[in-house]
Amino acid sequence: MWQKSKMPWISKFGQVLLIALASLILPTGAWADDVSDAEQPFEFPHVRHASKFKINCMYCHTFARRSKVAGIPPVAKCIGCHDHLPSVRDTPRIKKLFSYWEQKKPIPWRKVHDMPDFVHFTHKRHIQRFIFKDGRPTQQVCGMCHGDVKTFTVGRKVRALTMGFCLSCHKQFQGDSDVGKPMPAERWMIPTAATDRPVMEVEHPQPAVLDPEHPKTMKVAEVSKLSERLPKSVRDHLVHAPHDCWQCHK
Amino acid sequence: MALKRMLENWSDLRKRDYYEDEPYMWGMSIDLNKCTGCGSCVTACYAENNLPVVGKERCGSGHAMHWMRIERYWEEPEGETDIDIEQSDYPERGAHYTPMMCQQCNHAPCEPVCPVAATYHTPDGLNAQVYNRCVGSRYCGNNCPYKVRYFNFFDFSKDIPAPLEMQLNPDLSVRSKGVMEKCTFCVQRIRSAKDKAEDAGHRDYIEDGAVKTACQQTCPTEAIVFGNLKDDDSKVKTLWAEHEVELNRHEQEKVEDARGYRVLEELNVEPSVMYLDRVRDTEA
Repeated sequence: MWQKSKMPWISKFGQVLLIALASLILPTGAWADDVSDAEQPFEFPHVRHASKFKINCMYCHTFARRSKVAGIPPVAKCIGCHDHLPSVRDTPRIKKLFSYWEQKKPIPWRKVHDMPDFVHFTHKRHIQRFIFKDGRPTQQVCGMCHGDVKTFTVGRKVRALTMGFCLSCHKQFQGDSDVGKPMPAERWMIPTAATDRPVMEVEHPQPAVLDPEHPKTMKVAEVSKLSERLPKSVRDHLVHAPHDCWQCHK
Repeated sequence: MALKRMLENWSDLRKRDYYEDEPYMWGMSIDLNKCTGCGSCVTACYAENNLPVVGKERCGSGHAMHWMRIERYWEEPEGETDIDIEQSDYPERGAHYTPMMCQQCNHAPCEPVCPVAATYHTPDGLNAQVYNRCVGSRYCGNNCPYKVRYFNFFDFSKDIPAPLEMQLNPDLSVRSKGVMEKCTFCVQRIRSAKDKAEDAGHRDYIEDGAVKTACQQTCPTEAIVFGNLKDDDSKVKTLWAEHEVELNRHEQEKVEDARGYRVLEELNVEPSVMYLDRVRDTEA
């Protein structure tokens, strides 16, 4: 087809131009491994389940409250409801779902939020703290990292889950001492997926030896005590996260 | 600024035990009287910590990889040996085994030399190694008096045949090429114990025995005891006290019937592992 085109050089030029433009527009770095557009076996409609029927996130993602991973429900869980919903039984997606059920095969979902191996992140602590201790609505809490899932079909990665992203919360929140403290505004509101931007700035907390201000690894209380005395302009750029890498890196 | 801060907080910074107020200080005790040199601790460590088996050739060329090793010494018993024992099936040949792993020094020689601060001390008294920060200068390994730091000269994870990667422990990363690694006192188990303690509502207290390192769990003679040295009732603290070994003392007083010592104590590196000397009945 290319050869038969009347102006092959233009299409070639167009191709190059398109690639150049795309490389300018597409974000790199943390988003390079982004699999938010990963081809899933079928389009699971989060929008119906979470928005229309208001099913709690933890009804399907059972492990979130008691494990490191949130978990993908087994096919049996889907069938448990859909067996009793004859109205949608003949739609293409449900047909596909039942075909997996009849073949006794798991649905090969692709992982969307895949953290690097060296990151220790636990859903449990976050869920226990924000949903069960603070009593915040589930969708709001999950939305802090996962975006407004009730508007999605299949899950998409709307936040670059970088260290900077973790710290954007953790420099203000450090465990139980902050229970009940109001969340910063940008965390409180769930931004819509389209307008949400990744946190690309990483302010790494430094272990003692690299930080000239800290002769030794600081305890959390001491860091905040010391930083209170600093001028506001400096203070705003300080990361108050505990200076202990092993809390999150493994 | 730094100087001013240092002068202001001089007394705090000069404190010998900087993490005095922290609830945990992990320590270990290894009874060499009980150790039979069977090597199950080594095997357990391989399984728990995703260690590659590098093989004889690479071991020979100095690319060994074992967070825990059994050091073997031969000391012929002094005095005359009994003829009955000599003719027995198991004559005393003076074999002496020392399980050797990272001693989690409180004045660790590896820490200050790291150019990127990939190794540092946690408030729990552990000598941490942050794999994703490590650039592989190997300075720490060269500065370690116990030679317990191991370097990934190859990408061993690629050698794992297909279904076997499923048996890797997900609680810690599989190290890649160019990264230094060492015993962590099974920090992933400590982490999960802390997690459970927090569920129970006491984040500053972990019951004694709730954290077991892989080597301790597997030791058939229970020679290895692990626990919190800040907890006065813990088994490990009792042992340390019984054998009069203390932290923050670079030379322990030798007391009769006390067998405790720390390896290369005279270097003043403050190891957190106490060994109990082997006692042999040479007269028998």
